[in-house]
Amino acid sequence: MRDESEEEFDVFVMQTQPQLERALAGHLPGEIVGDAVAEALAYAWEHRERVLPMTNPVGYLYRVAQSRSRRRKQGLLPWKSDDTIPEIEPGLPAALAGLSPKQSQAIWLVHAAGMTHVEAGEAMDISASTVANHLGRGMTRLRTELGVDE
Amino acid sequence: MTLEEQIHRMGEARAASVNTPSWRDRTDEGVGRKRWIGAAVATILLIGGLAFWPTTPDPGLEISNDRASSSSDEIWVPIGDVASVSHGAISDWHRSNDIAVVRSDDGQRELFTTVTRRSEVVDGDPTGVWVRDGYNLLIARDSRWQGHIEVRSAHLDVETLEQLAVTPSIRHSIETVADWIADQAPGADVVHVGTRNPIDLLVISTTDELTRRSAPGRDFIQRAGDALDLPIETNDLDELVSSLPQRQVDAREWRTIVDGLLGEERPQLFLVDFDVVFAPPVELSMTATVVDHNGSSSIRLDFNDADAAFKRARSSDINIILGGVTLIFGRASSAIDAGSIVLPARLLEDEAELYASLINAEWGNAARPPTSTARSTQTGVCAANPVPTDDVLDVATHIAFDRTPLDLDQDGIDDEMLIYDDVDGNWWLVAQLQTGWTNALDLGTPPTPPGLAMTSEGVPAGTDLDGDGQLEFFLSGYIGPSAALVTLRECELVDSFFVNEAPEGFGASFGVQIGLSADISACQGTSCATRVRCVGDVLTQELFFGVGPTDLPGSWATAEVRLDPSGVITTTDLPVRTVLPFETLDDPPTEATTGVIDCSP
Repeated sequence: MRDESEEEFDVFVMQTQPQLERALAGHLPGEIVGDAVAEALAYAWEHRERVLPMTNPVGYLYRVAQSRSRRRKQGLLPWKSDDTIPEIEPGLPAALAGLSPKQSQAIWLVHAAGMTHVEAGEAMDISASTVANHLGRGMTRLRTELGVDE
Repeated sequence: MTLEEQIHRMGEARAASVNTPSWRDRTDEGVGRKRWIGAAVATILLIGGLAFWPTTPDPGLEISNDRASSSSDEIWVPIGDVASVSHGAISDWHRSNDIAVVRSDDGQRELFTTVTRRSEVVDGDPTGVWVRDGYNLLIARDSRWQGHIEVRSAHLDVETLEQLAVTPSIRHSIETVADWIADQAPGADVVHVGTRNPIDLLVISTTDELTRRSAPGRDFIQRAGDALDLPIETNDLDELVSSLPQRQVDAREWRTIVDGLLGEERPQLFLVDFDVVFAPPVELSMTATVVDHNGSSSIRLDFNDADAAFKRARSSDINIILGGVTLIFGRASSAIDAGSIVLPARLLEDEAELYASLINAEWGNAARPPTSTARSTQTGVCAANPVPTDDVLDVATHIAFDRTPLDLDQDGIDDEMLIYDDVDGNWWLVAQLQTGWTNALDLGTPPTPPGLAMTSEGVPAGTDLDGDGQLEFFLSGYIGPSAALVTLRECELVDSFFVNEAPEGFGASFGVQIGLSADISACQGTSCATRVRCVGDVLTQELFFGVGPTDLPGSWATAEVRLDPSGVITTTDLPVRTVLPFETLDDPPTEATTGVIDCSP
């Protein structure tokens, strides 16, 4: 019989898993994102009393997932899903990957994962203003690299 | 579709392709893995303990090994029935080259103290583990890799250590330790490595709580971990080492960097095998002498004016690392406050003499004058509420600017700034006040030309340009037009702008475009001016400083500008004029006009 805490955690998973998957999809190779998410959620379950009340658990679990997946960062295969989006600049995935880690991470968390600067800052362990710095400079570099104006 | 929208689409597409397995299964697996890894670590503990078990226990630490036993696949570590030492008595942990379990004074807490001597690490079985509660330190050495793992983790609590101590174990490797660390401190960054002795590189991981205080450290570790990846490959490590600073680093430069990395509570320690990496508190000076310690040599440090030094220091911790040997690690304030301390490390006599001479050369009384007690009363803007560096400082590969004295907080005492690029090619500006406050700012792309130097000449450093109560600092390049204006806002550096090139038509001086939100009004510093104009259809406010090569005057269009929230601006136009560098624009406004600049096409 499921107790109340399990039901509460299920709700938590429903709320956090999609954004966590999306956030990690910009940082980890595709083949290990699922594993990383599962590891992070398992950690969240084991530490649910501390994790669930957090104001930004996704940011925290994002770091947990990174830590737990670090040793699996072997393949670094490109995301096949990128090839299926006809409307993106062909060079965008490579240009993103060519940015500094912080810049690409900030761009991904804000624009792809929909985090606020504050949330992205918590996920990256930096301040919101620094997120903005990385974001602005990264986007400028992207535009320069891709030769686009907007 | 804008670039942002395209990235958003990428996020959607990638997320849709993620197949996340059940987290519940991972929980079960995690439990099993923890047990296995915990057992592995216990093996390390035992092997380390056996390897360095003393034939004659140090009289200062009573050791009982009655319960110690071992077999090929099962090992028990003694616990709970050993010596009684004062918890946190750092001077004790170095005493023995053995493994011990000690009980704190309150009788409630038990902890391991496993210490290996350097000579044994080099020449003997280099497998060992240090676990030091209170400092949450674990160091594992593995004979196969001759690697070096060090972790500080708030998750390594006493209970965990006890559990490790009684867990039957199996063979181990550094990989299993790393796994275990990841499990015990999932937010932590892993941690490596050195392939040769003396250690080439030591990177330390921290927990979430600690890394939050020192994101640069985390980033550094992240890069190291990414570069190395486990299992450790020699080539990878060589690559990593080769990417690190190779030149001899001046101890003072390193102190600045390490201070920034360590943050207020010095949660981390960084060791790179430079000859000297020495990060004592600010203004601390000392005299090092070699002393005999039961047949081995050690170093005694006598501090001058230590009390005053520590009152001013951000931290009472002191970390001294010389040639790969940790002489002091961690909190040593009580000993230092007393005026002297015998360093924990036991050394060969010639080693001790070498290190003592290095310490004296860098931090001895002759090299560093005694601390002025008058400074302890300073009241800089960030003195009362120091903010540790926690954002952007990275390990530098190239320090473009020497530490430049500038009175940033206008307290009458010179502070310091430096600019350097990190291993990723990003440029950082670091400001350090004499109060100990340090912060850094990402400047992004390299300045042009890269050989910049800061100058305080003619610079309105620490000036509240816009009257908002926050100080603006102005840094300029003496070779080219590169410049930066940074703002100290609630003890955090904020870049208002950073330019690499002068605007067209402005010669050697430079101008900076500032958005309306910058709200900079009358420029009151020396040789500065502002202008509002339309750039395309964007209303732009510009601020000009007359700093450039001293032999090249600049032509300026100048204006005093004030903006209000509704967008109404008040400008007082000044005639275009040629301004010699550092000339003060002291002409009073002649005519004020109020209106709205319409930038619409």
